Formats: sequence, C-alpha cells, structure tokens
Amino acid sequence: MSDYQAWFSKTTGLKVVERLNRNSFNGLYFETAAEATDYICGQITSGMHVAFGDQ
Amino acid sequence: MTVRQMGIRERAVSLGAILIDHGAPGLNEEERLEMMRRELTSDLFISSTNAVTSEGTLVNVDAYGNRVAAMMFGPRKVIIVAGFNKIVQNEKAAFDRLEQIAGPMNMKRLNRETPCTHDAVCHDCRTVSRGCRAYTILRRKPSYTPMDVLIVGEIMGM
Repeated sequence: MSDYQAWFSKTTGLKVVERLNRNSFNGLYFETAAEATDYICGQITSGMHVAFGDQ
Repeated sequence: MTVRQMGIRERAVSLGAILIDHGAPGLNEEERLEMMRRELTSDLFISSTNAVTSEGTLVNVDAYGNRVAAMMFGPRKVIIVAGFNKIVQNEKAAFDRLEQIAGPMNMKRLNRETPCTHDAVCHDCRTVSRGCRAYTILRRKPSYTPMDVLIVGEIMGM
C-alpha cells in the first residue's frame, strides 16, 4: 500500500470509528490485520468459549 | 485476507480457549447446526460484517441468521472486523454493496446454485439455494452486548 493509500484509509477509517463510538459501539482502527489479530487475541483467556460467525 | 485467515483460531487454541466453530471440517449437518446454536451463548463471538457506513452503522445479510443473531444478543462479547473495503457512504450504499458484491461473491465461494453465480448480478432470486435471507441494520450497539468494531486499513473479505 502506498503512502497516500495508507493516509486515505486511515483518515476515512478514523472518521468511521468516531461515528461508531457516537453510536455506542467501541470503534477501533488498526492499520493492519496483524495488529487487529493481536488485539483480538489479547481478549482471549484460557477456558473461554470462542465462536466465529464466518465459515 | 478474511477473518478465517487471520490466524485467530490457532492462537485462541494455544491460549487455552475452547473453539465453537460451525465451519470446522468434518461436521455433519446436525452437528453444524448444533455448533451454530452454541455460538449464540459463547463468551466471545468474532465475525466480519458485510458493510459499515460512514454514519457508523453495520449492515449485514445472512443465510441462516446465526451470524446476525449472535451479533445482536447472546454472546458475552462481540468483536466485528471490517476491512477498509467494507466502508460505504450510507445504508442505501450498504444494501447496494450486499446485493452487488457480497451476495454474488459469497454464493460463488459457497458453490451455491443461484443465478448470481453465473453472471455476478443479483436477481433477487427465489431459489432454494439463496443465501441472502436475513437482513440486519445495527444503528446503535445493542444494549446488552459489549461490541468492538475493528476497522482495518487493509482489504478484507468480500
């Protein structure tokens, strides 16, 4: 991804996050899927039942 | 990149989590349905969304309703993941996206025999195989469901 593409996605993404938060969601922005994965896995603890909506 | 390809399942297992996965290989139809029911009362439910609007709402379509139901109530926490490509201007654009992009691509991915898998155009079909059945809009977080919505600056899913 080029610098201007990254700038555009981040600028747009942060605006959406702001709107999500206004609607009581906990909106968060991550530049990469790897960072999002780390965040999700940080919520998981031993013995927790974890389910997935996607096949 | 899709939610399935993020490697969350593998890491969750290594962290000692118990997976409830209706997409796990080797399940027969009844076992798969039972998994879907159990997913509704999971501790953590992780899913993609079909569209996120610039107004901060989530728009989805589902075949069985299990995914959209679990987004709204049941799991103790929900995490929604959306690639940058899922952002659309408003709810009308979201439904256009469901009809023109997510629907046909999902039906093709799942090898469904629907008209859209032949010409990539929605026919609002009445086929038994139709996957676009339950439509939901989340305009606010459902009251009893803690929900993180992760916007990712990469193209993810369909």
